[in-house]
Amino acid sequence: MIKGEKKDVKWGKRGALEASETGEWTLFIIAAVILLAFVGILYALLKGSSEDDICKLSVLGRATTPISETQQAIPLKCVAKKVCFNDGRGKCEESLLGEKGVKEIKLPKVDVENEEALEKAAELIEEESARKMYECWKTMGEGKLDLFNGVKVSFGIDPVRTTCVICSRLVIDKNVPLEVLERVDVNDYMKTHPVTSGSSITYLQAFTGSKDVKGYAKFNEEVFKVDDNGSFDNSKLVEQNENIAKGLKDKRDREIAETAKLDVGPSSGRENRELAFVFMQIKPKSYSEVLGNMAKTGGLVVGSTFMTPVVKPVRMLTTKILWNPVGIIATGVAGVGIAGYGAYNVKQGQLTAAGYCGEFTTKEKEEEKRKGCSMVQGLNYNKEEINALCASIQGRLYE
Amino acid sequence: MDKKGQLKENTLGVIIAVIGIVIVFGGAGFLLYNYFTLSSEQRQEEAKGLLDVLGAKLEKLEEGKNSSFLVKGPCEGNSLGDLCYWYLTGWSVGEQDRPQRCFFNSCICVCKAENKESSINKRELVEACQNGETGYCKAVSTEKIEVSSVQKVDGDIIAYKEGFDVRGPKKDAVKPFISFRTNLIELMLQRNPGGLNISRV
Repeated sequence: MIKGEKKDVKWGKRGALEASETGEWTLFIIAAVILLAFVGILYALLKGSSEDDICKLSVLGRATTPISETQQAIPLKCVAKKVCFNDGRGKCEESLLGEKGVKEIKLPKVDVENEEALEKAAELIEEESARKMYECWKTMGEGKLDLFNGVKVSFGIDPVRTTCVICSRLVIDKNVPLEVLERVDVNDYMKTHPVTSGSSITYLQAFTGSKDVKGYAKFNEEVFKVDDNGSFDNSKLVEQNENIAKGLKDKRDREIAETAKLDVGPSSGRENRELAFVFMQIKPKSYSEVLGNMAKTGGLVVGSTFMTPVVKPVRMLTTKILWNPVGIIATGVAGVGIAGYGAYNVKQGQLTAAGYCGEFTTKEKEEEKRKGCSMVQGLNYNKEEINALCASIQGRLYE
Repeated sequence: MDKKGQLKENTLGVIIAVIGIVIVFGGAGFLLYNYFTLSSEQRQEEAKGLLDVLGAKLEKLEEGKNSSFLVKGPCEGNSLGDLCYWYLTGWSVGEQDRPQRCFFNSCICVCKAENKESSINKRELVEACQNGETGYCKAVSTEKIEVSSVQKVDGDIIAYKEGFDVRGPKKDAVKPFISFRTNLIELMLQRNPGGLNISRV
């Protein structure tokens, strides 16, 4: 060794090796701590946030799940908001008795002869309605997020159906004159008023802004109108019940579901003083997606039997089947049958989507209607109208 | 001396490795646990929220009056074939065969059972409602409470007698529970001198 030279290559090597290992571990731990800190912050945010923030976070969390088929495991933490319009003489007890978290909006006491006062009161209702409708659209992802994927639809086991979230309920107290309700025209308000005071975009433009998004907004013309006997068209609800019945395997269950249509009666002579803003989405899968999912899973299952040493008998059986002419034919027939069933469910789902989305699409091509859509609708808050739109409802009605 | 020296020099690395493994696997375990319990927590909150509102409406209901409101059950799944295994039921304080948690008061319960609407009976609901993970109950102040729904059967009922089928007359079956659906149902609440009635419209 040369004088003054540091002690030796042997010591230096060992030192360098350990330093690099320690360094890698340290970096690894720092990365893990940052990741867990992020999750912890998210968790804390969910715990301490407003209901709106919690709902938005849960929507994002669901939409960004890496495996879309497992979306349903992440619940939507969205609670329907409640608004009571009153003129000081009541608190919407008929509809909201015993419920928490009700926001009250005071309307001026109006004389039914005073047209200006009636219009002013109606405008307050329109303003809040448009705002709530827009909030619903924004919170649920503006139609850009697929929220209701499921394993059964992805693999063609069941056809897709409409799924909804009830964003808000607006109630007009019984003491508010009917003449106010008759003047409420939310569709017109949305065409002419901007989203915010400084914005140049109207509510309607905001809903239909992106051509790539099949999103629509509709405020039902029948909201707040008095029902005439038999005026409600329950054909969609009857059809929905029949479809549910067909999907059920047990005979007794089918009997129960088929007779559920007897529950659907038109409302008669009832004042509609409560409306709901409902986000609905229906997104059927395409034939290629479903058949692709089936093929991938089938290949994975077969492939794994050859790779797993534990299930040797299964592997041997699989080999015998695949290398046998009869086995190959039987496997092929079964495969075609399963694929055919999946394709049938895809078609049913697309036809359902066309039925719900067709009235909103301007293009005449059937393919566009069948791709599905997202929408926010203002409906009378009754079982018949909401169930006609929503085969399934997620989120919560009550805190 | 050499070996001892080695151990000292590797100790830091070992400690860091152990800490790292604990953080990574512990964190992964925590995330997985939350992922799988999120859904059942949501159902729990929904069931409790529903009972709270139902209880509040029943308490405020005056005698001789009725009220209706829409509810959504804590159902899982949104596929066509998904049935909802959640039920609303109740027991009066003097009733035999009721969950222990309803021993001192009449109660209303939202519970998840194993069986479908067509085949479930009240005994199974007692077990489901007694289980803290699948049943949630709330005491009500009246002595008598009745929960019911009518199963309308559009067609012949088949009765089974001694090994052969008998076609009986059409009749409506009144069940002592209300089954939830994946969309809305309407509940009718009535307060009579005799007690409270909850039925499905």
